[in-house]
Amino acid sequence: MQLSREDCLEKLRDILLDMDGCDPVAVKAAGEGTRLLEDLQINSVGMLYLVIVIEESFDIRFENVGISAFRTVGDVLDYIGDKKK
Amino acid sequence: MKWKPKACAAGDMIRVQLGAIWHYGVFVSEDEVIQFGHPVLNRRWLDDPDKIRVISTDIAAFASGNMVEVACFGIAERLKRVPPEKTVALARSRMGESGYDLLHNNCEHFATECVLGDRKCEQTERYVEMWNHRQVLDVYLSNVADADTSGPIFPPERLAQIVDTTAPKLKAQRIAVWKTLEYALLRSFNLHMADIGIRRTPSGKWESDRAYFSLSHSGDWVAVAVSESPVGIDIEETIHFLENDGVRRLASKVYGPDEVADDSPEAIMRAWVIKESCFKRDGGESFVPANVSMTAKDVRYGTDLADGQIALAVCGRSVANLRIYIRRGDKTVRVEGSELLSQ
Repeated sequence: MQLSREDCLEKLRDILLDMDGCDPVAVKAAGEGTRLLEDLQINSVGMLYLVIVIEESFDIRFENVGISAFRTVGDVLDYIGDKKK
Repeated sequence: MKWKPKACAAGDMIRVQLGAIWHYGVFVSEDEVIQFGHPVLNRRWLDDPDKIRVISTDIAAFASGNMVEVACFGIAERLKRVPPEKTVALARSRMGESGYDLLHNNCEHFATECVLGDRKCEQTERYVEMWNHRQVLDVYLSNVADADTSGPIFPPERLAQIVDTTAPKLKAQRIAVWKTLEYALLRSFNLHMADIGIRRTPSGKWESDRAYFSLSHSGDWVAVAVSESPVGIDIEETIHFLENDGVRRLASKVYGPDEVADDSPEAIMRAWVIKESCFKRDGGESFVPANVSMTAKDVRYGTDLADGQIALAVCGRSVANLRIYIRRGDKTVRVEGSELLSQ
């Protein structure tokens, strides 16, 4: 059994809701095009923590990725999807 | 390991807080601190890790106006500490090295490797630990007809149990609840059924060393609760309680001698479902409702899920963090369940 992209998006929303500093209303409404910095206000350090949690939650390893490589929620889902292949 | 602001000696591991993170280095002298990158000197360090190198700066640049702390080691760390002169030689030999990785090969990994001989990043480890120990209680609810039952059933003992089930409705419930559990473990804990040592106890309960879970099915519905601590869930079709003339006779069996025996169908249903969820959480030989207390504070109960067709109670230490998901086929929707269930 594998999580679908839709499942991954929902799981990512849950992760963001559990993390400090994100606006719950914005997170609940977040879709693929939602911008991490501008819309969800995740700064670089917040992004670092998000990456750590994604590694744990999806059992993947981020390989030397620049944090600004992820501009939108969809970018993160693309990365998770590629790693899960 | 403790950290103190004190005079540094050659070969010491030192650190400085720069905003929300700590930056680590190896002290050689006031003019030479060897470190893997520098978050202030390389402002875009998070964006372009390929450009980050092991560098040497003076102590003022390292500190960037902040207080420097020195690592003070406990006995175990002192035993494995690399001699200071070797630490300095090792750090110098790695000058110019690249391969920076924010999570897996950062300034703290570099410094601990030079000073203690092994690569560690307490900042990451602490956060991972915190995350993995957060309280989770997720409930997944699915209509049997809607359940995604594709794929094989694991383990073979469960498959055999299902194959042996002759009643078609029960068989469908058992398949649906098991596939819902499979999804729940993956979704909530990233655990695969085959990896969690799932087994059946002599009392017939399924359990695993990796996560706590509880299963329930009634009529057209199945429910699964997963948590990091012991958990119990029970669902019952409301029709059996609310449209059954004989339900009041259950009162004497449901309530204990010290409980107020409200014999309205709603109250009996509530007591039954709550007590069964608590029994499932706490375990025991057989479910005798009158022997189970209803006073636990870590219970939530409601009848508004599934269009009022079921009453649901869930019991567990992490119930304050309750999340509820409805599965329809391969689609999952999170519902604002905490408002639907009350204490």
